[in-house]
Amino acid sequence: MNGHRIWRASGILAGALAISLTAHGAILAHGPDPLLGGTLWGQDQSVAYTWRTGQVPPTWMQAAIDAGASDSNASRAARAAVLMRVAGATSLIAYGEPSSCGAAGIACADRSGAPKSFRMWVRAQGYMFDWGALRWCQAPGSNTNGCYDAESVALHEFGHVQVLGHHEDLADESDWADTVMHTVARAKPKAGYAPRAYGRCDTARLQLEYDRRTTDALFSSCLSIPTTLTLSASPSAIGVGESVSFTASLRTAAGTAQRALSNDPISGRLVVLQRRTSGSMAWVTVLTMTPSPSSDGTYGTTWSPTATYEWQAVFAAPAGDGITGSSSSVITVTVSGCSGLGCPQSVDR
Amino acid sequence: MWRRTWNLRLGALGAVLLVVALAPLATTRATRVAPPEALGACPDVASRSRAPGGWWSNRPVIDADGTLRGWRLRLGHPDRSDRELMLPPEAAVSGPTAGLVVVADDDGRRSRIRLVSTAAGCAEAVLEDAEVVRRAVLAADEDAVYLHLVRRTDRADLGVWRLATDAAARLLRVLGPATDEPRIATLGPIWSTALGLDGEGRRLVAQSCNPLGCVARIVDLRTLRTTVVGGAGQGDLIALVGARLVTWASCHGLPCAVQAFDITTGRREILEVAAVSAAPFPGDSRFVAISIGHDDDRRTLLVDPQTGAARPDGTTPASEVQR
Repeated sequence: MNGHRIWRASGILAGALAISLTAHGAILAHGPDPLLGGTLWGQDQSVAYTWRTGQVPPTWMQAAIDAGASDSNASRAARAAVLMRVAGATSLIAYGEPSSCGAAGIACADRSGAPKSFRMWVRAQGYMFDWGALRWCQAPGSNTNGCYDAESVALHEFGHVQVLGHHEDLADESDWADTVMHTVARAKPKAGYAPRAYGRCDTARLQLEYDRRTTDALFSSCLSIPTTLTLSASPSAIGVGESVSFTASLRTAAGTAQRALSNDPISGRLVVLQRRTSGSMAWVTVLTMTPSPSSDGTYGTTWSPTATYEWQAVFAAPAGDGITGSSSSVITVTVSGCSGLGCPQSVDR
Repeated sequence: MWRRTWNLRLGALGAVLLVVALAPLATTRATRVAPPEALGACPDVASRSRAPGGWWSNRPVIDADGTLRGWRLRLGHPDRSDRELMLPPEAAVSGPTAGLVVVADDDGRRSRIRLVSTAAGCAEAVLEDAEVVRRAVLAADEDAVYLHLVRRTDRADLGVWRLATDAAARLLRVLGPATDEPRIATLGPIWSTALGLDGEGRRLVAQSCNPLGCVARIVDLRTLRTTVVGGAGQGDLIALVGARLVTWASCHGLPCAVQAFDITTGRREILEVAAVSAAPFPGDSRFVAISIGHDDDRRTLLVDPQTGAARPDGTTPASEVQR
């Protein structure tokens, strides 16, 4: 009976949020989750937790919380904290009261102890709200409509532990799958009531704060990070038949807005080398540059141009990668040592 | 339709059934380690000792499957041994006010409200009702209990009522259902309702909350004039101090901001950006105690919500400031 009330209510609540935010003129473009505040964990810091003495969760809730931690680790897509249960840990998770959750909360977290420890509380099965009794789907005999999924709620709370605030959902909830950091969780059987991984706007914030796990990792598609591309040629003046080494460097733009992603080398992408004759507007793609195996974000090639050309490197961001395309400045490689009709000035290789 | 019954004397008789093994115990604080006694009945609790210094704590009773089966309410007073009361999952406790603790509980069929004298170690039932009592608080002058009701059949909000504690025991509604207030209706379905009184006991706050925020209705108990404050961004009630309603921000986690709303203009000021606990300051109702920092470096500030001025509190251990 309460189940129907719960999931129906969550939809109404989300609508109410949008109305309220619009009224204050504060609705934001869809983007990364807001910051919860407090000190960040170290990059890839192992953060151990255990159960609070006297408030140990029942077995089914323990399994759900541990699974939520695993979900966080597997889907963080950033160098955010790695969560694990270890006996004797200083971070404590409590089941039932007392808790520090607000009166309308089914679970909550305290990250004020970061980077040393955190606290988490989960309300007990059967806790009474004005609308009725809280039910967790994992509790024995409770996996029916209206229950809340404990694993995804745990993932949500671990998101708070990492540093994620509540996502500002779009009014039509079309962005529901982009985050697990909803202010109001959905209850079974509403679509999206039991996510098992961070959404793209969660990982966007985690990447902004903790950086990506590797330089060739994709950026969250909830981001739109500007990139910079530089191109150099060595030497920049050659004789016919000689070779030039082109080196491109692809990085995120430097700036505070990019936070931990500022000036990050970007590996594993496609960077093409283009040329044109001086005065022409038309660029011709010559080749795809080869990623350097030893230098992150660096792409290179060697070429033997037969004439003087202007050159640029171009990066076109693929779909699903949260960065924007960029082009390098134009450089000129002068080719000399040949004159007269026999020179291959107009020959394209 | 729903039916209401209440009878002060009948309630007291019901409470008699709760008396179990009233073994005599010493009355010093040292006896706290002994098993607490059950709560006796006192037909006229208002005439009992109002000695200040009472306290209570409420611990959940959770079964092996993790289901909340009820609450173990422990009541104490420096002048006597502790008392214990088992409550069902749907229960609320408030006070003490002038030595009296208000206990509301619901057995699934009926709700009742009891006034408990911690000094006398006994209770009197002052209300039984077919609907569900969610919250109850005692007015500072002890002449009334204010209670929040929801309908048993569908949990619809039935508003806030005033129960006179005199022999007439009249029950009058002082606030309509939360859904009648447009700003609460805009907020959406309500998950929790808090009741509170200002330090002088002249105004009642009924705060309706869901995870998105809270809306507070402030009633002048003399005129019944109501002021509405809040919406998205307002969190749980902390205190009503003068012209300021002090609440948490709507955080669902810690640290969290503590804020003060001007109840006339609705204007909000942040008193502390990153608090970990906050409560009315027991020593002076003009202040709230706000704790900041973590375990190793926790500090408590006394904050005047009227001015925002804060000073370190040298008297209240941070561990005693609860959310």
